[in-house]
Amino acid sequence: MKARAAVEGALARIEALEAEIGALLDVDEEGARTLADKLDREPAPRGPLHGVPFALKANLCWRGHLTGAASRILDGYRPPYSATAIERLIAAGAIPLAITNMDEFAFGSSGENSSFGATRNPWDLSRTAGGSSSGSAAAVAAGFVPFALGSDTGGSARQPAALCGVSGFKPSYGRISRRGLIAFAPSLDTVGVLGDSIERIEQVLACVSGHDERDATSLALPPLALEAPREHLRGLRIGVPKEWDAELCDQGARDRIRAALEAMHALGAELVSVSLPLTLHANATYQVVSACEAASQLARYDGVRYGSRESCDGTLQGMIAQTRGSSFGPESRRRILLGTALTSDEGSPSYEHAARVRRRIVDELRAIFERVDLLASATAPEVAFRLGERSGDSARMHHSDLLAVPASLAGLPAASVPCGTCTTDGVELPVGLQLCGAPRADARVLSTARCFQAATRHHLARAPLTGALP
Amino acid sequence: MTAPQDPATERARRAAALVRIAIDAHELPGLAAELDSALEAAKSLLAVPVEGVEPLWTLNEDAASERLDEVRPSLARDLVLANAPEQRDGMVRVPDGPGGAR
Amino acid sequence: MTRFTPVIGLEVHCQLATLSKLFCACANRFGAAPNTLACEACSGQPGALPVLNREAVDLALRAAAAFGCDLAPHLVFDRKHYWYCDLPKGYQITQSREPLGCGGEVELADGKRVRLERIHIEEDAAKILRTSNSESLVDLNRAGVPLLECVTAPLLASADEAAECLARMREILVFSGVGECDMERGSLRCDVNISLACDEPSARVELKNLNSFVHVRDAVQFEIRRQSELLASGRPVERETRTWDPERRETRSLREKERASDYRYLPEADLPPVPLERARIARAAACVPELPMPRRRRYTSELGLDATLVEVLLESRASAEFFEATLRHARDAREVARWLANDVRALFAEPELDVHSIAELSFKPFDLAELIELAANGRASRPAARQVLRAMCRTPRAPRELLRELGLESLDGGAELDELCRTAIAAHADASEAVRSGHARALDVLVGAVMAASKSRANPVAVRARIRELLQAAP
Repeated sequence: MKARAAVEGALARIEALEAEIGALLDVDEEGARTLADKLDREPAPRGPLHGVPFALKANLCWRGHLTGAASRILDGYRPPYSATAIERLIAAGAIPLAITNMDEFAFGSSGENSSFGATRNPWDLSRTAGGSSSGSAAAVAAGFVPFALGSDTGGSARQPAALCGVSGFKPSYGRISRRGLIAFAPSLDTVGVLGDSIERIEQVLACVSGHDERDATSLALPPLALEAPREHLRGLRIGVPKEWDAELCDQGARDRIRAALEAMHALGAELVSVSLPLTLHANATYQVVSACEAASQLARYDGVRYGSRESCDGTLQGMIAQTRGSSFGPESRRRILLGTALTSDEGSPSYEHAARVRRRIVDELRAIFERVDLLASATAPEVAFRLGERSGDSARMHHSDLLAVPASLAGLPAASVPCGTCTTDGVELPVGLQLCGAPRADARVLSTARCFQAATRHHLARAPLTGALP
Repeated sequence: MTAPQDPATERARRAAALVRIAIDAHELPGLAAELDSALEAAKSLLAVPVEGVEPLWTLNEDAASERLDEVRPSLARDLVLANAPEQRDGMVRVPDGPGGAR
Repeated sequence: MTRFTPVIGLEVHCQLATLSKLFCACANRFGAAPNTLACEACSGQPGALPVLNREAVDLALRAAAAFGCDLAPHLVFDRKHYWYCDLPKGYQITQSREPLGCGGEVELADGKRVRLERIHIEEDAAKILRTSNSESLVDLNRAGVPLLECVTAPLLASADEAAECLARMREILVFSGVGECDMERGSLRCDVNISLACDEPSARVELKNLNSFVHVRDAVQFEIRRQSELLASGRPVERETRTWDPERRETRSLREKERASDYRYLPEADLPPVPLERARIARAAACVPELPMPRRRRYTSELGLDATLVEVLLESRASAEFFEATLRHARDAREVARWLANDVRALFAEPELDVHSIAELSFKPFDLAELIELAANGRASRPAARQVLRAMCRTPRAPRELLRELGLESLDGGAELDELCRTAIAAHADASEAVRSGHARALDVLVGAVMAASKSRANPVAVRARIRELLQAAP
């Protein structure tokens, strides 16, 4: 009865806290119970994920369920197929339990762009859970589920993980199939994983990674071979980018990162100060590239084959414009217009110019890995900010992804691990350490993060709210 | 006809028309200002020299995989049409009255 | 009106003869019930991804070899955006930056060579059924079918040349096995760009929806006249897209031509570049047979066949190859050509035989050659040989054996022929008398009677000789 017990435990915690947090858009109680009972009747466990309930971000297609990227334009949409990552988890005996809240189409860093209202941070309900995988991070932080799938296009899994005090991982681009991930920017999108520990994330990675013949950009590699647990970090050279360090605005967070670097040093790692000047352009590059791709990617939402439909003058073009005009949220609209202006001679720099800058940034990042094994920095330049504090201020909102975006542009694997909390306005708020690896060095990133986690045990800190939980 | 508008508003209006997003007239100036500042922010990239640099369109340039020419079952028609706002005779119905330019 | 020289180019779309669609595993098949050949990818569901069909690339490479195009070093795809309900993703995956092939040419009958500007791979759109003035219905079966687009340089100067160029492109594609190219089914489609050159070239008009060779010729003819009249009266030609209305026999305006930037072409990030290796290109090129135009020349000049016969033989690659294979076992090219063009083709009209094309024939060229030889040396009469041919469709046996089994072997002599001749002489006393008195033509009556009585098995030469003998011998 282990799977069923796990599901009932998760449902009880959801029942107790979800109303305050708003992490979930839908819970499939009956489906989860049925699947759990079936798994419990099996003679032998399928693997480490057997009977483990999980949540998935609303931009991952789950056949027959309401996974509509938290957008009104996909109101009532139930995909006719499931994402490869979900198929693989189900095959491994994991139990999809709930769909998590997010910024519409993953456009955002605070969850406030969800059509269903923002998710609240379990550490302080007046604050953001980060974004765009807000609900996935909060669901893990609140103890609903041991892990959740998210997505990471420009920090969307790592930043909320950091802000909610859980572990988060963005794999190398192509490591996990994107099939069934409702695309935002196809050259940047990855499926992300958020969990209560790096071990858990490693188990999930071992299951969902590996080539998928139905995603032409997926790496032609077998499922990720994990490294053996490390006792120490001796022999590892860890680069600390000067430029990223300087962007840290929060003194409390800065102290936690310092301490984390010292902890890694104490574990035997050699710390090397490095300079990555071009990555200062990473955020602007990301804004241009992602907006141009998003404008194209969201062209399919036209009210014809699925989703909402608004009519006005009886013409097809009128229907399309009215549907798109009234069903996209403000941030989606803003990005689509930006991407359109940039790809239609209306704006400069061109998408092509940004793609050239991107190549230079990628080259700079790849080159640095000839000198160091990993890059360490804060995941986000600050701790969780107050909901509403930045609404309508895109520039400040984008600032939140500053340190996460370089790895996205280059498709590098990067983890966020809790590295303690700091007191802000009298509240304890978690800080995340980002470890970014060389191209395709996912296993190295995870084993390093796991060693750090085992030594510091910061990941065991729980949001105060969860103390009284069943 | 609306009164002549400033270039930023005109630009936002054209982009919205091009990408088929109906926008209420009163929202246009606000959107235009947002678009303007986003474009302004993006301009910082023009300072990065890129001569002789190939644009990077996709990561994993070596990933290219093709599939064999094999037929697999399609989705059941019910599933194809399950999310359609309107359907008729096994097809998706759309309004297509006169007046709309193709 | 002759002051203006027409400047005409073709944009030809050919559906590639693959089993599955370009980017998904749905069947590439015509005529299925609406929306029964669609999946998450070709219906543009959120999160679905394209994966390139290897065979589509190989067929396109084959076409490139057949036209003699220069190839791009690798295959890259772009998104072309426009807004219509036939486009499930809001963009069409096509090749804009770097087409698969550039250059290459199509040869016309008079030797004129029409350069190709580009050929590229793209996906077909959904089929739209306009049911009334206020609604359309979408059928996704065609969405994602692989297309090869071939664009000629604007080097054609008349309606006839335009129609011929299309026909020449079609036969190259058909012979190479690239596509079925059936205009009625829409597996070959043609758009025409046309302007008139005088002092300065007039605006380019694009003609769409020309779904037969006749429509291409008629529409171009109409458009040349329309534009000439406009220019002659000092009015400008609008740059626009027009469609041919075959009932009213006129072109009419469809919509304003979009500016190129309106398509907002964007590299397709879901499809990494595919390198085109030499070995692969060579394999594709090796699949290109001798093309119709050189064959046409050979058949006419070397084999001395007349043009009508040649066109029938060149109807398909299978037909031309069957002809040439038969020829390797036969003496008379004209005889083989006639058999193929007349008798063999006549088989396709017989429903009970259930054979509809050369490719479906169960007998081999060698068998046909043997049959032709049997007929030529008089072992089988023409009608008997035709009967054997029909039998060959049912049972794959040597014609010689079938002839014997069916009891159709020629009567060259012997008691049976003797008896038939005597009966005919007795029955037609007048004709016999006439022959005896030197009226040679009366012999035909007697021969005809024997032929009829023998159900055409009798060898007319032998009959003629035997009757003469009998008439001379008997008083």
